[in-house]
Amino acid sequence: MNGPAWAGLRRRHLLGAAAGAIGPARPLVWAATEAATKAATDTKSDDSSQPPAPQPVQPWRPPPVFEQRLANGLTVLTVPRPGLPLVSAQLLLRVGAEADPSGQPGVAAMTATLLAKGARRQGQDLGAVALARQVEALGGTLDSGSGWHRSSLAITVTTPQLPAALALLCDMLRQPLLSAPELDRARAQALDQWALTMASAEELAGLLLRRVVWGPSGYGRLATAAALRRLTRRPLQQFHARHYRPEQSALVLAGDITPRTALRLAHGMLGDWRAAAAPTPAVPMPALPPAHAPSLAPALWLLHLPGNSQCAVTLAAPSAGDPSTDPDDAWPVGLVSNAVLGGGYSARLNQAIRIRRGLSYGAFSSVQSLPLGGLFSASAMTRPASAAQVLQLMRDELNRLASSAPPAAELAARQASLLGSLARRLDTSSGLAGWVGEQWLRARPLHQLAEQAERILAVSPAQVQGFAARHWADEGLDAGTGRQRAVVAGDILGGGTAWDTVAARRLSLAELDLNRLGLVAAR
Amino acid sequence: MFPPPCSAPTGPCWGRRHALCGLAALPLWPLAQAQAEPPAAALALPALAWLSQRLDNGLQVLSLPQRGSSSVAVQVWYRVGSRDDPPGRSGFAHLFEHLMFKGTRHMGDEMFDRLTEDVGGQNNAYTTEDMTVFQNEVPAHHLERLLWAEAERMAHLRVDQASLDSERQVVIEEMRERVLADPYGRLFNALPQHGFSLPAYRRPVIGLQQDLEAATLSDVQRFHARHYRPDNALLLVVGDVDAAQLRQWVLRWFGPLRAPARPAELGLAAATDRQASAPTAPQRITLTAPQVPLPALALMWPAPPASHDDAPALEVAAALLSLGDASRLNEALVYRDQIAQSVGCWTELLARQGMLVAHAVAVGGRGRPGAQSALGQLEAALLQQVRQLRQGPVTTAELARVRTQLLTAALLARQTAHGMAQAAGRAALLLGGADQADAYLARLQAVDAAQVQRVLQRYMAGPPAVSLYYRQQASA
Repeated sequence: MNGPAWAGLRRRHLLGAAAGAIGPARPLVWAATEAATKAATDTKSDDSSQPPAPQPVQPWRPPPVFEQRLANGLTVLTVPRPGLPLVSAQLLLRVGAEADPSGQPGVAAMTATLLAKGARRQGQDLGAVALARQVEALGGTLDSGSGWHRSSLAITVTTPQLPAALALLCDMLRQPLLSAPELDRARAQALDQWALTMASAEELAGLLLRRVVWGPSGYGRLATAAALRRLTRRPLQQFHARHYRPEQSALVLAGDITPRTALRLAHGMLGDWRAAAAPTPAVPMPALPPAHAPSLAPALWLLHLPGNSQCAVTLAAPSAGDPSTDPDDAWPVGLVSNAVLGGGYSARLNQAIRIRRGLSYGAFSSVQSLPLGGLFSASAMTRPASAAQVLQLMRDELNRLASSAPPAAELAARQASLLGSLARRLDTSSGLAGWVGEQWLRARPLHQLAEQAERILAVSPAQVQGFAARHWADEGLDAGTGRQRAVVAGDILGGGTAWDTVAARRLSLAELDLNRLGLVAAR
Repeated sequence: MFPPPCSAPTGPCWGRRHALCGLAALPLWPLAQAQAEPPAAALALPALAWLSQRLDNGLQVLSLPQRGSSSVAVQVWYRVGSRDDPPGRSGFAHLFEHLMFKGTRHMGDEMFDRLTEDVGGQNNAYTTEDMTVFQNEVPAHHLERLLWAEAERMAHLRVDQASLDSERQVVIEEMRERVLADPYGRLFNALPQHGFSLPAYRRPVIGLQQDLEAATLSDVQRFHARHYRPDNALLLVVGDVDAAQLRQWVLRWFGPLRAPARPAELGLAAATDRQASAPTAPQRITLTAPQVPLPALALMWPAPPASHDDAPALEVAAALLSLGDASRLNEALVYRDQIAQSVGCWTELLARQGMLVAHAVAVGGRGRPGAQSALGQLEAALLQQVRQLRQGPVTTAELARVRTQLLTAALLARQTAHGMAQAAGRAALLLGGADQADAYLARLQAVDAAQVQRVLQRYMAGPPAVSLYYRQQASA
């Protein structure tokens, strides 16, 4: 379909990044939602002044996940769902940008990008064009990518095309050419993308916020234009040889497939895979807890981009870390707290900023949990004259949640919304594969998934308030506890006098240098 | 932060998608056959069994019971869009779409969010030139509640001044974010103005800020009375529902609604076709904006409406040119010559007329010629590819690849109740019936090279009617 010009005009936030739970094999999700609507349902259904009562709940059963392992250590995860003749395949590695060699950010990402740009197949070197033709002849679109602690190749095809598609993915994974001409092409494209990023207030604010929160190491490392120009072929080859290994990999197959077929395909195509180099001892990434990089005070940064019609307002605070490393196991509480605050259309941030005041097209937040720590971040676009007010509203909502527990009905509605969005994600084979893959990447035991959904529903109003108080509350950006960090990017000078009395680091785009520790270019 | 309406396939900003994703309906494929044959072979596609019903008040109802699905899609499609914006009120149909989430006789503001989001569902809406679409997904046992609520707002919307003012601000924010703040938003927003000849299609759907600011409550009441009525709407329900039960609920909640005595103005009056601006000589127009990191261009040719017989062949032509990394434009301009950062080609076929659009974003400097000649070079290279497709060989493998891509995309959309309802709604409003979604897909699969070249000869043989060049404005 040719996208309607203004499709999706009531935009909604997708909870993709925060997803990670599933209901058990009983009507968990919908049953839990009844509290939210009970008040409106105690009337006779012929009374047109009230919505009719809901019908009895129907059971909803998430598909089962089958886990198998090859002799070389590769994990095979299968999620059978009969019906449409479609299968989603993902090859996942538990390694990503955190393993970039020191001083060379971008190596993991570029390696993943180049997988699809050339591979050895049946004794022949095939370039990017030949590979693209083979992939697309199968009807699918290949996604290659990487992030923190992950690299991946994924495709969705019709069932009869699965063996051929999987063979292609395996050759790309195991025998990529990582050629110099393709590196040059990909570098040029990444530099163009960087130029687009530098023109976007929203993206610039996001990058700067990341650096302000995490400092120059850990998750604050950025593959800037300068880093992209320095990339050479050799480190990519070394990265592939060291880190692409079967015991760090999983094959996820979801859709029209059985565990038996999955294992047979995996064995045939990946059973003889051996890593090209001995494993490198894991070098722990230098962890800087959020908001404690001393060189990056104060907590508010104003990036002036003259002529930019909209300001991006972004705010970050610590959140729960990954469940595998967080001793308190606060992850479900963080997820639910975010759902109350900014995880959806009806959450508090959008209520305060869009629905009640018309200050933005949308204000949302998300929580990310990673091995080194968790991060909450909120963002909204608004006109320059409203930017200071929007930032204050965000901070007020964080602090309000920390000072009083949300009403039970509000919490139940947001829990239902959170679980509903997770359940909808499982409607497609790629959503299923993506979700199972995330569990594996985070080493979350697959048999505990149902329990995770129950734990989301078990989160109480007091726990939400406690979480907000422990992680998010901050009396003032200039003299506070240092928890909240904010970046506003846009036409700061066009915002009138609102920023005049605010303690902030002010800089223009010309002064910004994301490569430097203090973020300010040398004069 | 927010998902674009459809994932932008190539360009940095185009909120519209290539060719066909999400368009066509596709029935289940008999599995045995699928495994026995290569998919490039012609497939027998059994039609989806849509149930159709029309109430006495004119409401059209389409449903597709799907056993075993946990949620149900409830959509209402109104035959009203930006083409119906009142004079001096550009953007009104879209502003009105936002207001439909405000109160009614028996519902408070944002009650729809309570009935959907708060019980684990979701809702959304969009406006195009021809239609306004309201979409809900709820747990199946909440279906009747949504029918009640949709009937409420169809008949009894009540908007007050405070709601109008606040939602108007949201829409202006939306325009500022999507048109003004996006580096390529102004280019995208300018396409209808240059690519269509009908005045009602030339206005941007989002409208002009001064027109949005001029809208009053009486505009709201008039617009609702005129266009939001059962005989101007299509109700679509897909999911785990019992057909007889659904029929009963639809009658209970929509049956009592009355269509006004004055007939609905179904579709755009043919008379307005006469207002179409006469074709002019090919034009090159330059548009500038404060932030254009990489210059870009869009080429537009007039095309037939969505229901035209040539539509499937045009879709296939656009897919051959730009669907995927192996497509012709991508391979030549992005990969081989490295003169484009991204390329795209798509058909924009509306109810009464259409356009073909090809776009490219130039690569960054890196020692190449300056912006002016870069865009000229880009246009020449793009037109060269169109010419080659029109006149040169098209291999069987290439056509088979594109057919498989289009088929797979259609199948992907079939995975959700939402996707099936979307395909049927579009077919019902633009192609003459929900069953046309299947028929269209079958026609798409039957397109051969000769048909592709014939439609290219017919619509894209000449230079584009408008070449829109887009670049950074000179600094003050």
